[in-house]
Formats: sequence, C-alpha cells, structure tokens
Amino acid sequence: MLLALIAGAGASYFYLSGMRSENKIYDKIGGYFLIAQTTAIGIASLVLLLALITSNFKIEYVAQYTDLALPLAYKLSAFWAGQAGSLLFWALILVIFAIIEMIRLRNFDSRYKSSVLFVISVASSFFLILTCFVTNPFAELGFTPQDGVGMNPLLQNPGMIYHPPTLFLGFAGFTVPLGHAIASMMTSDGSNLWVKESRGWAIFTWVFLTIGIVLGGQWAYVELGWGGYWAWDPVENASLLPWITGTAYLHSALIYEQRNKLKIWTHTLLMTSFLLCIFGTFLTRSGVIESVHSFGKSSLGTFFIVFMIASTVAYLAVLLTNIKLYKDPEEKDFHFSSREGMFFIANWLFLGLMIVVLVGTTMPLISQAYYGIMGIFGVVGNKLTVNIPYFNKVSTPFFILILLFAGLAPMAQFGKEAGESFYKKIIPAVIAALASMVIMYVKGYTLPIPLILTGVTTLSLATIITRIVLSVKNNGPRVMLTQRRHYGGLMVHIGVVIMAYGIIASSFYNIKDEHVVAPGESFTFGNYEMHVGELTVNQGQNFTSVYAPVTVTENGNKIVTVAPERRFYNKREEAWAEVAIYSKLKGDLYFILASYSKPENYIGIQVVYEPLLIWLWIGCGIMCIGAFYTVTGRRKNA
Amino acid sequence: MNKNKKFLVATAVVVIAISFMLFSGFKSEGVYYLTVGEVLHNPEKLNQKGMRVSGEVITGTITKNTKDRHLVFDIMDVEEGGAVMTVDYKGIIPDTFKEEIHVIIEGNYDIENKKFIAKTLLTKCPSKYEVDPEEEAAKG
Repeated sequence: MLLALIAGAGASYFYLSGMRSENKIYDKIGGYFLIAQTTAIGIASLVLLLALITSNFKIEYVAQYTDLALPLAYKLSAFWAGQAGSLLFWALILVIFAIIEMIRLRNFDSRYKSSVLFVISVASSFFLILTCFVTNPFAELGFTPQDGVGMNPLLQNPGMIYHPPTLFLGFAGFTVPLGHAIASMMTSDGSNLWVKESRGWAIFTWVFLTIGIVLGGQWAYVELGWGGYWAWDPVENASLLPWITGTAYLHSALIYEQRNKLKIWTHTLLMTSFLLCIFGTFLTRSGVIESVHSFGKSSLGTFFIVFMIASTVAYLAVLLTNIKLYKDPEEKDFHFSSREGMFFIANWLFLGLMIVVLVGTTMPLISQAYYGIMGIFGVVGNKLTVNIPYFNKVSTPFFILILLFAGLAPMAQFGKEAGESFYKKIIPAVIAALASMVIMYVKGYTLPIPLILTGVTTLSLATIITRIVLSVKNNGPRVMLTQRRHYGGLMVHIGVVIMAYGIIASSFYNIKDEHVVAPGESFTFGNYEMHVGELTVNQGQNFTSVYAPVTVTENGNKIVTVAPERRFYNKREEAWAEVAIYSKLKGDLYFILASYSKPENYIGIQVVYEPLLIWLWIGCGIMCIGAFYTVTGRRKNA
Repeated sequence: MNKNKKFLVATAVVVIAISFMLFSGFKSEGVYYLTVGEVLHNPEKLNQKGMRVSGEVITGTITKNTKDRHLVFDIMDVEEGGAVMTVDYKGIIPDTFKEEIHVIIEGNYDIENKKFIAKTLLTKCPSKYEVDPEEEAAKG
C-alpha cells in the first residue's frame, strides 16, 4: 500500500508535468507510475481479501468484522463493510478507472490526457493517504484472537453484498468526468468535447449511484423491519445529495453538448457532485452527525475537510481563470418557456432540493457552529436538529415542481418561446393529469399533497407518451432504434414516473397494525384474515431462529403462509427480527414478529400494508435499462 | 439587458423561496439536540420544541414489558457530568436495546413526574456505527 501511495504521488507529479509541457516522456513515466500504483493497490486488495477468507485474526480489521462461522460471501463483503476496507476499495475503483481512461485516451493530446489522469491520481492518492496513515486495514493486533467479533447481523443480507460496491462505483465515478472537465480547461477548449468524451462515464456513474441508493432502500426495507425504505437518515441523505446534483449535471450537460449553453452550470454541478461524494463518504464514515459531541473527533474528518477545501479552491482557480471560455454568447433567444429555459429552471430546482436536504442533514453542525460564533456576543442557544417531517415538508414542493417540468420540457422547443403548438401538444396530458386526480379523489384518496403529486406525475407520464406517439407517427417506429439517446432518456423518465407512483402510494397510504394473540388465533387486517400458528424453532449456520407461521386468507380463500422470524446469532445477546414480505403488484404485505413468549403463550405480530411498493424496484430497473440504452450503439468517434 | 434582468429576478425568487422553506421548516420541525444535563437544566423552555437526547442506558434500571411494549429506564450523560434522568417509552422496542447501550430518544420532559416521555427510541452502538455504511438508526 505504501508502494501504491508512492507510485500514486509519482503518477500525479508526472502528469502534472505532462500538463505543463507537451512532453511525451512525462506522459510515459506517469503511465508507468499509474500501472505501478494499480498493481500495488490490486495486491493490497488481494491480500486483504485473502486475510478475510482465511480468517487471519491477527489483522484487526479481519477480527473486527468477521468470525469463523460467517458464510464465505459475507467474509468477502467485509472488504467494504468497514471503514478502512471501503476506503481502500474507493482507491481500487479509481485506479481501475484511470487505467481504462489511459487506454481509451491513448491517442489524445497529451495535455488533455495528462489532466484527466492527474485528477484521478490525486483522488486515489488521497484515499491511499487515509488508508496508510489514518485508518489502515492491515493494522495488526498485538496478539492473535481465537475468533473475530463477527459481522453485525443487520449486514448479513444479500443486499449488503451488492449495495456498497455499487454505491462506491457511483461515488468514485464522478472523478472521471471531473478529470475531463479540468482537461478541457487546461487545453483552453471551451467546446463540448469534454462533455461528449465523458458522457458515457457520467451515465455509468449515475446508474450505479441510482442502483446503490435504491438497493440501500431495499436493504432497509427488508432488514430493518420497520416497514419503510427511506427515513432521511444522514447516511441516506449522504448518498442522495450527489445523486440530486448528478442528475442535474446530466441534464445540464445535455444542453451544453447540444446547444452550447449552461456551460458554467455544467461545470459547477459536476464539481458539486464530486464534492458531495467525498462529503457523503465522510459523513457515513465518521459518524460526525450522530455524535452529540463537538465536531471532528476523528482525525479522518480533518483529512476529508482539507481535501475538500483544497480541491474546491484548486477547481475554482482553474474555472475562474478560464471562465471566458464559457461565457454564453449574448443570446437573444433565451426564454424560460423554451426547452433550455426549462432545463435551466430544473437545474435550480435540483440545486434547491440539494440545499434543503444538505442543510437539514448538517443542521446539528451548523447550529453548533452558529452558537459557537454567536456565543461571543452573548447569544446562547441549544444545538438544533431536524427530523423526518422536516425533510418531507421541504422536499415535497421541489419534487412537485421537478415532476411538473419533467412533464412540460419534452413538449417545449429549443430556442423558442412556448407557442400555440406547445399548448396544443400538452392538452391530452393535462386532461390525463386532471382525470387521474379526479379518479383518485372519487376513490376516496383525498389528501391534497398526494393528489397534486399524482397529478404532476401523470402529466409527466402522459407527455412522454404523447411525445413517443407523435415521433413514431412522424418518423415511423424505427426511430426507437435509431434515436437511442432520445428514447433511452424517455425510458429513464418513464422509470422515474413509475417509481414516483410507488413512492406516493406507499408514503401516504400505507396501513400499519399490530396484534398480540395466542397461537392458533386469528385477527383481521383490512380485507384479510390472519391466522397465527405455533412458534417453531429452526437452526441456521450461525444463528437460531424462532418463527411464527401466519396464514393469510381473503374472503375465505387461502392466499399465502408467511413466516416472520426472530434470529439469535451465536455471538450476540439480542434477537434480530427477520421480516416476512409478501409482494404483489398491488402492494406488499409486511410481517414482523414483534414479540412472543412461550410461557405466557402469546405472539405479537405487526402487519404493514405498503401499496404499490414493488413499483419502486420496477421503476428503478426501467430507469437503469433506459440509461444503458442511451449509451448503446454509439458510433465510433461520434 | 433584458436577459440579465430575467436571470436576476429568477435567482432572487429561487433564493427567497429556498430561504423561506428552510426557515419555516426549522421553525415547525426543528428539535433541540441535547445531553441529559442540558434537559434537566431548563426543561420548561425546551419543552416549547421537541427534544432529541442522547445518553447511555444505566445497568439495572430497565423495566421491560414486552407484551404491552412499555419500557422504563434511566439514562445518563455519556460525557462528563453524568446527569441522570428516567425515560418512559411506549412503542416498538428495538432489537438492539439493552443495558449500557447508547440511545437517542425524542419527546418531551414531564416536569411533574420528573421523567422524559419518549416518542421514539433509537439505539446506536457507537463503536459499531462505522461498521455499517448505511446503517439507518436501528429502528427495530
């Protein structure tokens, strides 16, 4: 690992030199260093994985996160389950990306190429500094324990094998487009070349970030047993923040590439996304928000802050010296109701959403700092924090407006104010939106916020459909295959809309209920009859489980038998609830074995009904397929 | 300069809207984040808003009724000071709840009966927190 760091520093230095002069030699040497760095990190990662597999408990990290009884898959996933390992994993991803770019850009102007690789090298070296000096995954204990502490049972779930790496891929991925952005400035090129070159990376990154966040939500839903999937927890927000700005970046970059506008916006959003990725890693890894103590207990925090400030200053310096490249030519035809105007508004909306979530997440820190400073003037106050209602309250208006513009924008035209044709085109969609609201109201779902949300969501869906119908009518069905970017984009939007329906229904109309019964008794839940059976004990690989079978019947017809359980892991004192979920397209039935007692002969069951929940996962799948579709079938050198 | 004016107006509108939302959000939904000692210091004033308090569950003080899901226990400051107060909580008892664990509770202080009425109870094991990149407070 030390070798890797030295190599990384070397690579950074020589790429920096390569940026300064057009010398091929520097580029070559930088390349060798990069390869050396990658090899070293690769070996370090392999060694750590081996140590985990062979349960080498002399290494503290291994002892801390695994034990002998742990299934192999989880021993491997421990690589990214802990702080030190996940930071090494970050660095590993970055150098792999760097190698890919090195090969891909081999015929590029050496200054451009060096700039890209320089940025990635600096970032990966930063993470190596952390793993070498602050939190080393190879730190050894003074003795060799017989067995490790074991893994937190909450993490022993398949979701935990996929969720962190996908999220880290998404986090790390923003570094590559950022490198391209810097490269464009270094080569004083104000054209859209860098956006084109990094588009694939941006979409790839965004997809992984999306999958990572949704998997996280799914893990929470399946594993935490409170019937929800999103709680505006600081760590959830940490992953959402870069997603918000990253989404804005993709839209902004599209305008940059096709219309040569919103250039500074695009740059700024990209940098913000990158910073938020670093910040998010910092938040989740330092626990700073959770602590009631004063800020920055772990030295890790200091490193992150220094890195974030340094990279911001460096970036701004580069951006400001090159700002004239990006001044939009004096445009006469900028209108808010044109398509780029709407993208511009959307940027603001995404940014605003990011700000309110960010402020809410970091409120304890902000208020503490504020009173710390104001204390000098005698203003005394208590540390403040916010909770779930705050986030719901402040984010809802943004979601409404974002969905509204997602509905309007596809109908607007570039560079033109909305005219008669625009209004004509949106009539069917507006009718559909109003109809959906009326139907909802008549069916008894009369809460105002979900009504409005459903309206704008339907508007979005209807305009996408209108757009597809018009385009197919004018150009024949083949456009779906030829205009992949366009149709991929529409598909992503369909996914978003489907997900939005799922979120609206499950957020506002879930039903929770709880019953304590004796084995053999039944209770009613909505239209369902729940029959609770006898407690049963079962033995797993590293746990013992107790479950109560629940048979669900509707109007006398048996539907399914589920078995919510509580598990006792061998190394832990407490019991862990394992929920049972019965998913249907209409909604999920979610069962928790809340309590039981053999001597007192009772079983407590909680039931949650989450309408349309499964559509969240389906919507996410469609989003990802759509995003991949946009990057397939690209012509070479397009 | 029509365009610049437009931008200025738009920017101003957005900034005002965001600020307004932040302030109204904090006014109605903000809660104090406190230590036990701070709560006991001036509960009357703090009761005007919600409170979130963190502390450590004291060994031997837990009365647990699983069937009715009712918990009564004492917590003390984790830091210096060691102030102690009694907490009364009705609701789902998290899997991880036990003695000596770090908890975060939300609710208000009942001055008459000298106990904290908790609406929510989150358990956090600080040493284990970093184990988990996405640990939503174990909501049980």
